[in-house]
Amino acid sequence: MMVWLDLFINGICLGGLYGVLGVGLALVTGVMRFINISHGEFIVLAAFVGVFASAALPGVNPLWLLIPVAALFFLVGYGVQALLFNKVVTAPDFLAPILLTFGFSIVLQNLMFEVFGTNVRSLTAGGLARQSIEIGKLSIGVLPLITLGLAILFFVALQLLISRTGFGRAIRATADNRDVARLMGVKPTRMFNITMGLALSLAAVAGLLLAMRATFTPFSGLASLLVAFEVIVIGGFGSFWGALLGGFLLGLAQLIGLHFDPDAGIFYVHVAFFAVVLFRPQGLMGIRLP
Amino acid sequence: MKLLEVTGLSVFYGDLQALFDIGVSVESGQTVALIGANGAGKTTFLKAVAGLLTSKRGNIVFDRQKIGGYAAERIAHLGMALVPEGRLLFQNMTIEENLIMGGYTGRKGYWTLAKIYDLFPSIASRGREMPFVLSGGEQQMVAIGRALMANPRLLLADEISQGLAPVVVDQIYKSFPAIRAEGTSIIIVEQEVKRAAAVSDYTYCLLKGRVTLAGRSEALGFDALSHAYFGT
Repeated sequence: MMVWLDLFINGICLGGLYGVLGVGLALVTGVMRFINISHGEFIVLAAFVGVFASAALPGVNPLWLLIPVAALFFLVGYGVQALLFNKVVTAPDFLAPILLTFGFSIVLQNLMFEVFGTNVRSLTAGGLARQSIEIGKLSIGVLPLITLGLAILFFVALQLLISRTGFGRAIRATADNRDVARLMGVKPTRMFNITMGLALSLAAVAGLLLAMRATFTPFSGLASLLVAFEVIVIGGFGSFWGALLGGFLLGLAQLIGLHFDPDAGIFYVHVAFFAVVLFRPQGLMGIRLP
Repeated sequence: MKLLEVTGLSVFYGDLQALFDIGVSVESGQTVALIGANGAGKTTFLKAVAGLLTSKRGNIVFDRQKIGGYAAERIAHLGMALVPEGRLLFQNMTIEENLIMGGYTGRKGYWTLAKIYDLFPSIASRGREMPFVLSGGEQQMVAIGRALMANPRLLLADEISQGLAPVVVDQIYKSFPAIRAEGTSIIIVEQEVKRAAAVSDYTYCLLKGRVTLAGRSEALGFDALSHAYFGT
């Protein structure tokens, strides 16, 4: 029984992180109808920035790096969208964004390989990584708990931003009908720039938190992208809370799978994904289309 | 004073030309009707003026500025609002959010949320509902209200009676005097010739992308009009 509770809590904590991984991608897909294949590479790039910043600032808890790195990646997202991605966002050919971002992901990957090498790296969270809270016989890691707390914080913040602010309304209007939004005075490309900025700052947060719990190389982006996609497909496209729920499900699947089959890696994540797609193709929170 | 002066406007969809050398002008405070059969180019004209169509030639002067090359969002900030054909409300937003979205430019003026609800009492208590629960007429009221929220100097209304019962259309057109009273100029696109003539000061008739008749609405003769409309 204790084992199950332990698995459940840790699965949820990991799942929160997977949710953050997915929600940035979900935001971009929902607002722009644009699939960013290079999302995973940005996650890895943020992790590298974290590793080097952490090395340059010994004694600073890497959790504090979340704020400046997220801010930096907001600018990166804004810039990449403005200079590059906006050129294909309105392309009549749906392949154009996929080809562009796929190519961009390869460029990023090889740049990181060239600059950082293939060494396996990770971000050490100092003493925090070993601390845990004891509740009865249960031992819960402090870092996973902080991760979960941050994930929920980001989900709530994003939800409020999108549903309650004028900016969020303009984003939703743009997602609904670009031309009608323009008639109201909204400049879609500006909305896209900000959206990509938000998405990549979420990716950066996910990248740093991932690097604190697992190792990575310049080629880890694909695995992250895959998980991110699975999260939003499971959640139901365009549903933020669905993405969090999807993250929880995948986190649970991974840890429960690992418990019974220690060599499985993230195999059971894909099994869970497959099961959802098979039995509930519209996603957990998605609306069944007629 | 001329608020809108369009001269020699030609619009293209790829290799196809949809409008040929159109000239239309709207005085400040005037209501102008654009009539014509399906495919005459009325909607194309409105979209081109509002900046949604970029493949065009000719001059468009709005409020003394040449706006022919401006993007739609920039023209919106200058005080032009379009009620699009088919209403096109934001389906994922409440009625009230749709109206607030109309005021995105932040242009100040007579029209506020409360004033829109006064103008259309039947949507006044329904701000929290989603557009799809409204009747077609109520949706049209929201679409007009959304455009008014921008406090426009020129309102472009595309086929606002489309698909609505005549009694509902009457109700909607009853709001026009209140809109005009604020000095707003209006261009309406309307299939129904009699109604168009009744609410407008000046009428243009389009046929296959060309202006075939233009004149003061009350002076239009039936024969000339039917000739211009059908090209017979």
